[in-house]
This record gives sequence, structure tokens and C-alpha cells, in this order.
Amino acid sequence: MVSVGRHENITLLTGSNVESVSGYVGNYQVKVRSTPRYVIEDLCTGCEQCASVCPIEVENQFELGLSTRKAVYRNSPQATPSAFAIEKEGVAPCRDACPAGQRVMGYVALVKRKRYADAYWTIRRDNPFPSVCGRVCNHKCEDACSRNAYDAPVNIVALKRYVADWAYANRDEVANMTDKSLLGTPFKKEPTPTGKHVAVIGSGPAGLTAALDLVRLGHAVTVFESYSVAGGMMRVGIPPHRLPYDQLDWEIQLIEDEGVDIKLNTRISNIPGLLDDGYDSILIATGVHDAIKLPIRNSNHPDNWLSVDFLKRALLGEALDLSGRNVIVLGAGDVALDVARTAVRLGTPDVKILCRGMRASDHEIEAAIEEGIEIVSGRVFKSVVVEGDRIQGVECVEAEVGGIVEGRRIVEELPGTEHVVEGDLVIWALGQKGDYTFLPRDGSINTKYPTGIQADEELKTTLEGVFVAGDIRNGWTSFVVDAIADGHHAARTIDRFLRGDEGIEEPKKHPRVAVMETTRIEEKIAKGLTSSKDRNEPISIPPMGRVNNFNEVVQCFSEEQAIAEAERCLECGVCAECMECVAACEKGAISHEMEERVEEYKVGAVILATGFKDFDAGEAPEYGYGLPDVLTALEFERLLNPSGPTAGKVLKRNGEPPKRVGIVHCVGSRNEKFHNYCSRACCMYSLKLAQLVRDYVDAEVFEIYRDMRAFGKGYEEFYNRVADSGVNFYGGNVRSVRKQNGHLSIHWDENYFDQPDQVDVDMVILATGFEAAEGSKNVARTFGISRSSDGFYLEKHPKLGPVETATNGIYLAGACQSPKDIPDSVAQAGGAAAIALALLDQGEVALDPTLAAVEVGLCAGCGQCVVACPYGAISIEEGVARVNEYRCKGCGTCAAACPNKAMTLVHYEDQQLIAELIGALS
Amino acid sequence: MFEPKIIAFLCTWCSYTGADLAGTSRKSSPWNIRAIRTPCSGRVSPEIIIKAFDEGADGVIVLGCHIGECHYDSGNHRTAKRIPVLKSLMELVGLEPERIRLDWVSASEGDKFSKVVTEFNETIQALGPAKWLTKGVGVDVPVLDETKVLQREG
Repeated sequence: MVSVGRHENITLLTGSNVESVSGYVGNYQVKVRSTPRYVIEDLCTGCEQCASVCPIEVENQFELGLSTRKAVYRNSPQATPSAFAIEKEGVAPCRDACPAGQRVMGYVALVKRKRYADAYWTIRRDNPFPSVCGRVCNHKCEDACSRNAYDAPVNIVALKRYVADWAYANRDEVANMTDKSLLGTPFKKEPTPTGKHVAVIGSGPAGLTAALDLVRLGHAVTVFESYSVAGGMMRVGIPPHRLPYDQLDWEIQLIEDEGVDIKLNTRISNIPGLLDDGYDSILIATGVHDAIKLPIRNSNHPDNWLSVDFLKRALLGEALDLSGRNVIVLGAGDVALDVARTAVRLGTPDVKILCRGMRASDHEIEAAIEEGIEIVSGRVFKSVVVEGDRIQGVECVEAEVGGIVEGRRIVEELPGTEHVVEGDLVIWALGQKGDYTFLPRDGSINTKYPTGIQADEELKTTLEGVFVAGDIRNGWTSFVVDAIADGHHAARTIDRFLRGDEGIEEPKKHPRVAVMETTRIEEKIAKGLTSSKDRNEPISIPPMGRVNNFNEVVQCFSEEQAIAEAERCLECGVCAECMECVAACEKGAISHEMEERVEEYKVGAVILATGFKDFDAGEAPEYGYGLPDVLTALEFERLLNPSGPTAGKVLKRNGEPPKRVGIVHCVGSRNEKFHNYCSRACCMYSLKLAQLVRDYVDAEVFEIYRDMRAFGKGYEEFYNRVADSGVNFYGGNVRSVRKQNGHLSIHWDENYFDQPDQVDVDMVILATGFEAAEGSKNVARTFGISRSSDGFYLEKHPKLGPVETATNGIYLAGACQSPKDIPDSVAQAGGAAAIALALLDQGEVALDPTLAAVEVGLCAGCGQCVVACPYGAISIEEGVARVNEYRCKGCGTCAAACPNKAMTLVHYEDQQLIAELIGALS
Repeated sequence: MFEPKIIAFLCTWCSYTGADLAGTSRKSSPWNIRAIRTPCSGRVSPEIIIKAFDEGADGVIVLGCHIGECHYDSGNHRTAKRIPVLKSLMELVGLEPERIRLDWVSASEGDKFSKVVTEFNETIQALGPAKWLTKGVGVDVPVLDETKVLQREG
């Protein structure tokens, strides 16, 4: 194998499939599609460091499922080429659904292995705010999780929070570790300064994400924040009982430590002025902080508060006391719940939420109700009732709320149901809109109808150099993860604006989304490769202990819970792109950006050597496959191999060597139920295995055979030697292998009188036969060759043409043509090579003269022949048909299609066929 | 016993080889089947089939490669469309449609070849000789004249 790999005239294309073949003998064009290895062959030394750090473990197909391997792997130490490869099934559905492209599978697998720091770097690679998303995200990842089809999705939010909390608790240690989060990104910790300066307006998740990316590309960044604290809505809009701000402040500090300059208490209202001041580009990321209020009667009474203002005052430390105030919150959604639960903690004795229909996550709603908040849905508010100078309540009417039609929700008010809900403080939480007053008066930065700032796909506004990202772009609220995604996008577009061709490109995603089907999930769980347990939910502080303080309500997973939850991940995409392999590879041989290659090769001849498939013993349950210690011959070979799953020791499932081994012949062969043919090689390999068992273990061997086919050179002599060495041979047709009295019991129809028909052993080896290789049907079709009824490729002639096929230039070698052993395969391969060489050596080929021809005088140019030709070999030129002799294969379909009989097939012309008919029928 | 004259159009790659296999496997087939070999079943035009009846055939069977396995990719698709149309036309002019049969036999299906032609032979035996107008009426096929301009690509 090594000499093949090293030969200068041999190109080894691995992971490749022939997609199509065109042309003819001596002149084939073969299109080959190669899946990328993701490892640069010339650089990989096979040191295995990558595999040792890869967190994803899958079944090892090379070891026939007897052991596991990592996502980055090599089939065996003796593999040619010796480079590793990475298995990518596609992008996992969780990552595909995440707007920020978080490598969910990666950090979950690392949590499973207690590698929390590595998990933290994996999260931070795409998300600078793990503590926020680990608490308040709308988790599209969980909605897309393959496990939804089986039981419940992995609790990804809680796992992310676990890692974020761990990183914060160990932040000093983390600060001293190597930051792996930049691997696999175009960013650098200490980049060459570009000399460009970017101004970011707004320090919310969009603005800060963009700012961090931009400093890592070498630009200078100043962030202008109008509030007294950085963080945007994360800091002033989410109350600390959901998101404690010390972790968020730490995450923002890390961003400042990398060089982002944040100027607080600075409101920008002169954007063109900033450009004049020398900023090369500006990013507007101001968010939507204006709460919406309906212009109903008395809605401008001072006791009508706005959600955003209320939360900001509370969260920025203003000592608000709501004891004695009865609060009515108008609106549905997370913000309304945040407002209500904050009001509870500020002392209000009574809070009601009035809405048309509550839309928030179930556990948020539950938590709110536990805290004594009353949610009244199906209400439309009509007016605020004021008496004297105090609000008395809100007048509303009951309504039936339906679905959304043409962007508007159908609401049918029920007449006669007007009533007043009592309260003296109304807080509006109907949603938010943007503030556009800071934009230039001359309209150089256009807004969008109905909301938002106009921007193209590069996030450019109508003013050169000014970009927009985050909530303000569309003018409505989204989730933190959406803002982070927008921030990343803006950093890329701004970099392209500032550096032109040197700017970073949009990242490419794997074209396939690897959702795992239910049958595969069940298989994985049955094999113990994934946990079968139910989803873990984090616990919350009971209501009594939480309503008078702002302590965080939802608790973090314990380590046991986190690992148990992480074990539920199905690892759909296999490789998670966590970049641990990149960090470990000293040669820099890993390249996750490799893409599929499609290349066309011009070849003169093709030799098919696609081999065979082992008969699946599972299809013949009578032989006991599936019982412990019943192995197929191929599995047993893996046990014997020193680089196999047991390091070369013959061991039963319980770890002990067997004392009595039975070998059963003809499994799947010579059997009407499966295959009628004899697989030719099994008798001899069974003898070999019998001898090897005796060499490796001190065990008795019983071989039950129907016939002993020892037809080759030295074969019969070998049989005699094995028989003389003490292996017990019984002639018979094995009927069943069963578990009886704690042993494996083999039963057969005895061939010879006075011979036993049953033996008890503790390990059984099944001599499984050969079948046509997986996919051989497609290969046959691609190359235009036939298969015989047993599925193997059809040779030109069983006696005189064993290596050729009916198609000139396509040759066969080895077991793909019929079952055979190694000496015969090698001999056949030599034959195929010789014939192929003889063909190529000729320098010329004689082509079949059977070609289509047109009698121009009769041709009407109707084009029926053009349509009929399978090869597109005919065209109509100057009103008559023209045959391309190189493309024509001589099938004659055009001749039959021609209405005028102007087209004919040379040597099969109508007159010739009719002459044959006359002769035959005379 | 009436021995029908049956013409079997066989394609070189599949059905002809299948017929060969039937022979080497010693599967018996009726000896009154006359095989006419063409490169592809797509070469068999309706006019040739009619000519076969003109010249005295009692039955015509066309055997090609299975759909999806045609050596010439899609030649047999054309055949699959032509023969049924021909059968319904023949019915119009008074020939029993059972006298024409289309089937698919691959190179490894010696058994099937034998079975199909035996069946067809029995069908035609039961139908008796074809009552079809013979020579003189039918399709006039132009003779290929070498002296006229033949468009060939070099």
C-alpha cells in the first residue's frame, strides 16, 4: 500500500466517487467528486494529537462497531495515506438555527468531558455574552434539536449558562489561560493596526460585538453610549433576577481590555460631524428604547409609566418604592413579565397584566404566576380611568383573539363586556420603537417604512461610511442573539468597506444540515452511545424566597446535572468545529475550510476493483448473531489485529479468553434464502482462523463444514495440517446457534453416522460469505456495464473474458466480479492491468463503424432524431440533420424515429433488416 | 400442431446476451423463434414490425434492456413508447394486439428469456396464423442510394 501511495505515476484520490463517465474506449472523461479530508495530507504527520483532544466520539466503522473513534480519525496506523481525516456529517441543526452560528455540539461535548475552559472558548468564539444568552435567549437551537423528535431537546441554554457561570467563578484562572477562541476565525489578539478608526453608537449587544470584532481586525474603535452604563438592553432592560449584572459587566470589561474604548454618558446627534472629526466609518447600533403607548383617553396622566423607563430607573439603582401602589401592566411578552416581576420586588401589593394574549416562554409565565402576578388575557384596553388626580383603573373590553392575517392580528371585541380593572399605576409594555431624532436633519440617512433605518445587504445606510445593526435596523425588538449576529455581520461589512479586497469574507457553511432521524436516534441509544435519560431542568428559588429581592431566581445546574444533560446530545453533525484539533496540531495541518472538489479526468481505460461486502449475519438470526460472543469472521479478524479493539487479544465480551470456539461455515452462502453461490474464500479463511485461535488462546476448536473447498496450491496440504493439529472437524449443515444452559450451542444436520450433531462452545465465529459491494448498482450504471443476477459485475465471457466487460475499455479486477481470495484477486488484477496497458499502448483504437447516417435529400429537418438521440449527437444545421460521429454510439434510435426514413444506422439499415426478416420467415 | 413463425427483435447488449445465456444454461426455448439482432431495441421501428407481419410473421416480440439499464442510456425509453402505440394501431386494422409483445430481459436473465418466449409462443399458437395482408401492401421503404449526397461528419 505504501508503495502505491508513494509511486510518482499513481495519484490516490481518497473520499472520492465517480459521478459520471462520458466518451468511449481510449477517450473517457471521468468526473470525480471528492469529499474533503479537512486535513492537509502533506503536512499531517499522523501524531494523533488531534484525536486525543477531539470531544466527539462515534462508532468506529473500520472496527465494525466493536469500538469507538473520534470525529478526527485515521482508520488504522497502517493506513495509506497516513494522514488523518475529519468526518463532517453536515452542520448540526442547533448551529444552523443559531443566528450567531454558535458551535453548540462542540461546547456541549466539551462539558460532557468536564473541559469547561475549552467549552468557554468555543462559546466565546462566536458570542461575547455567554452569561446573557445562557439565560434569556429564545433558543432556536433547542427548537431545532434533533432530539425533539425522540423525547425533549437538550437543555442548551442551561448548559451554556453553566459554562458562563464557571468561567466567571474561575475568571482569574481563565485570564491566565491561552485564549483559544480566535482559532478558526479571521481575528487576531494583536493584529497589525490598520490606521482606521470606527465610531460605534450604542453599547448594546450589536454595537459591542461589532466593536470587538473590529479591534481584532486591527481597527481602532470608540463606542459612544448615552446611558451611564454600557450593555444596552442587556444591562438596563433585563432585571437582575433574570440576569445578574456582575457577570455581564465582567464580559464587557473583557471587551474593553482588548482595546475597545467606551465613552459613557455621551449622546451622539451629529453623525456627519463624527465623519468630519476623522472617523472612517460609523455604526449605528442604538437599539429601540422607546416604549409604545396607545393614545387612549388619559394615557398621558403622569402615572402612566413606560416599560423601558421603569426598568431603566429600577436597574440603574434608583430607589423606587411601589408599596401601596396597585400596578396594571398593559401588554404581553417577556418585557411585560419583567416589568411585573420587577414591580413585585419593588413592593407593590398587587400586579395585574392585561393583554390580548400572553406570548412568552412557559416557564417565565409560570414563574410570574407563582409570584402572585395575575395575567388577564383576551382584553382590549379602551381608556385609563381617572378620578380627581389619581388613576382608578383601566377600562377594557373582553375580546376574542385569533390568528394573524396579512400582518394584523384578528381581534373581535365582545360587546357589553366593558369593565374596569382597578389600579393606580399603569405601566405600558406594548413593545418598543426606535428613536430617529438623532439622525441628521437633512435626511441624508434615510429611514424605512414603517420602521427602521434603510440599509442594503452590506448594512450600509444611505450616507457613505455609515452602517446600521441591531434592533434599530428594522425598528423592532429581537433577541440578544440576533443583535450579536447583526454585530458580527456589521464588523465584516465595515471591514470590507475599510480594506476593500483585503477585507474578510462572509463565512461559508457546510451545505448540508445534519438532522438525525428517529431510527438512528433509537439505534444510538440502544447501543449506549447516547444517554436515554429525560431532560434536566434547572431548579428555581421558591416564590416565598424571591419576591422581595432581586436574587437570581433560576439556579445553575450542578456539575452532575450538567454532565447528565450534555450526555443527551446526539452529536448530529459529528465534527462540531470546536477547533480543539486546530489548537493541538503543531503542524497546522487541519483546514476546516476545505471544500468538496469536482474534477474531470481524461483516461483511456478504467479498471473497476470495488471489492465486496460482507454478508450481514443479522439477516440470518438462526445463526445467533446478536448474542454475546457470536462474531462474524471479519469481526474476529479485528480482534486478532494488534491495532484492533482488544489490542490483539482474543477475548469474550466478559473480558476472559474463550475455552471452546466453534466455527460455522457457509453463513449466507449456498443457501436459497440468501445467496445460492459459494463464496469461495470462506473454507480457507475458516481453516486459517482455526489455526490462529489455537495459536492465540489455549482453546478447543470445533469446525462444522458442509464441504471443504481447498482447491488451490497448497490448500489441501494446509487443511491436513490444521486437521492434524487437533482442530475438531464435523461434517454437517449448521441449522442454528442458540443460547442453552449458559453456553452457545451449535446444532447441525449430521453428514456422517455416529458423529455428534451438536456442540457447546463459549464463542462462535460465523464464516460469512461475500456479497456485491454497497453501491455497486450505481457504479455499474455510471460506467454502463451490466451485473449478473448475483449482483457482481458481468464479465464479457465467463471463460474467455474474465477481466473485460461488454463495454470496451472498462475492466474488472478482484471480488467485484465474483467472490475470490487474495491470490486470485492479484492474478486477475494483473490480467486487467495487462489488457488495459495493451489498449493504451496501441495509440489508436478501432471504433465500431456502426454509426448513424443521414440521407440529406430525404431529410425534412423535423428534428425527431435530435430528440430521440440519448447522446445529443445530432443537430439540425442548415435545415437538415447532422450526426457527430464522435458522440454517436450506434444505437439506431434516431433511425427508428425518422418519419421519412432519411436517417439510418449503417450495417443495420432497414433494407438489411428486411432481408433478414424475409430469410427468417421463408 | 400449428408452429407459428415468430420474430424476436433482440438488443445486442441485454436480451441477445440473455438469449445466449439461456442457451448455454441449457434452458429450453421454442425453436421456431427467429432472432433478429439490433444494437438497441430503440432501433426497432414500427414500420419494421409491420414489415415482419407483411413477410409472414405470426407474432413479433421485442425484448430490450430493463428501463434504466439501457446500454445506450434511453433507447429503450423510445421503444417503450412506440410499441404500445403500434399495438393500438394494429388493433384498429384488425390484427390482435397480443401478436406484438414488448418485454425486458437483461443479459443475466437466461431464465426469463426462456420463459417469456415460451409463453409468447403458446399465446400465438392459441391465436393461430395471422390473418394479415401479405406482400404488396405495407410500407414502402426507400433504398439507400450511395450516389446521392450522404451527410457524414469527418
